[in-house]
Amino acid sequence: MSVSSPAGSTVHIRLERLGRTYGSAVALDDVSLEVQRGEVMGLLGPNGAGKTTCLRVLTCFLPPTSGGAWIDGLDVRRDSRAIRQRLGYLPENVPLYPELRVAELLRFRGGIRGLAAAELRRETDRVVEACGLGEVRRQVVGTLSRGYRQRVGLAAALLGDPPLLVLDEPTVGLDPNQMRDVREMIRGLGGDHTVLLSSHLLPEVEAICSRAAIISRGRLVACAPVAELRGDRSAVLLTVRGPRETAEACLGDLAQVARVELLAQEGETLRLRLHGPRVSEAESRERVAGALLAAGLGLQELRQETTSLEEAFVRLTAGEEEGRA
Amino acid sequence: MTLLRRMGALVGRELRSYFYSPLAWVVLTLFLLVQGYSFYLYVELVNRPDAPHGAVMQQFFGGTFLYWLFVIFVSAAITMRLVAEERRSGTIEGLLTSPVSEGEVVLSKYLAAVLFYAFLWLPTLTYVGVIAGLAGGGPVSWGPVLSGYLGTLALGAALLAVGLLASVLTRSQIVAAVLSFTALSLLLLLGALELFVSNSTLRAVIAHVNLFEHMEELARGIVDSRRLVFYLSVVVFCLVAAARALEAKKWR
Repeated sequence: MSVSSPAGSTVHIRLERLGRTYGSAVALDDVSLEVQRGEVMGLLGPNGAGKTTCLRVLTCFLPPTSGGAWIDGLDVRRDSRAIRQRLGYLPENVPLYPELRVAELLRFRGGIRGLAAAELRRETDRVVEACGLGEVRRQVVGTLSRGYRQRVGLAAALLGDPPLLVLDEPTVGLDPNQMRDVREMIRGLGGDHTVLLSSHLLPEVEAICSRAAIISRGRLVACAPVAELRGDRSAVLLTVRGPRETAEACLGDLAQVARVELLAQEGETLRLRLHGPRVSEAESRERVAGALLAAGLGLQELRQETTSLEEAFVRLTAGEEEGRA
Repeated sequence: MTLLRRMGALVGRELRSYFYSPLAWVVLTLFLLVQGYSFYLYVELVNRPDAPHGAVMQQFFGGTFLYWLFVIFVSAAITMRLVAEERRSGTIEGLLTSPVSEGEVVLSKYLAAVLFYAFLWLPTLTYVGVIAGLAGGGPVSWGPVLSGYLGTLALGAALLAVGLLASVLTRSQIVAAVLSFTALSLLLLLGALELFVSNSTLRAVIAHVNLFEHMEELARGIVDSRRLVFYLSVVVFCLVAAARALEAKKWR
């Protein structure tokens, strides 16, 4: 099952039929996923969907119960140490030693990564700067606000500049300004670093990630570029002038249109929504426009209606709500 | 080299956490209070006509139940938080996802505990100075004093290893403390069985693990390598078991 990792390989993280159970409770079920090097990938899901379990398996904190996970072609079961050397991890709820000062905590976390004294100083300064911790450097961790604790956790994950960052809910507890700063920072990490983050905030994933995987009840229900997830199963909105019957007849003849929905009618002006698996693609839209003009109808507006990621998310994870009801 | 750096960071963090917590200072204060009082009693005692045989420091190391009770109590108090606290607060996650092995974590925590234990005993060296002063320039026999400290360190090393193992097994500091206090009491009381067993082979075996007897020998200045090997094997057994248990605890 193991995969060799040629230096130029673009796959950074690979999950294959990954499963994890806690006793009889299934936390992750048959999840397969690949993350490319330099990608910022979001792991989305409702609470309890298995996001944290997934990240814990990847960071070698939990062994998988079935399937496997590889980072740089290294197996989490066998090469745990080498994997841990290559990743920085921000655990959920940011557990930190409350009695230490910020600088002490960062020195400790850098020290256990094996950083030498000079490097440790340089790295500590760098992450303190990057995470805006200058003011609280000497402060005791237990007295910090939630937002600062979050940033200390993030700073600790960045120590030693590991090529892979695994961030579990990185912006929880931050105020909107801090949230924007942290998101900007994470976006900036992409390219040089691979980032895998979990979140239940859709706008966050839309803002930071290039791709997103949606997990629901331990299963992967979707994995695609964010734009695609959002646009998936989208519709076309039309404003047309002319008799309703003519419009419906000519649109209904098109292969791309599965269903025509009348939204509103004001005299001769119709507002319509077209449904169909591929109706919003450029080619289909051209056909729709062509057909309407050929039938002598006045085309006033034609636009692609993109569902928000939120709608896609609700739809994809709906099974869970039904299951609970 | 990086191994030393990692372990240095681990031991340093552990010691910081000891001295930043009130527990360390409470233990240290009570320890000195009890040891100081018992030392005073011994000094008073040897001045009485019906004084027990032996020098003050000989009594001081293991001469009464006070010594044993306190060594056990202190060992449980020092070790209870080592792993249990990290598991409760979740910091174990950051620790075990760093590139350190479970063995390094266990060994570092153990070293920090032993260092703290040694630090507790450090002020009692002044008692030796007091004895030397009271002796009025007379000779103090240093051998038994040294071997007494050696024995106390060896005993502590073994008890702390048991305590660390207990701390790995649970997420609650209190449970860890109760667990190690019970285990250590049993270990100690095992030696007392020697008085009640008639079978000579069994007696010999029990004599080998009779901590009271070990300490009495050491306090008299007799250093028997078999005793040290016994303590060392307790340490090795407990640390290896603790490291394995920590690995196995990776499920939550």
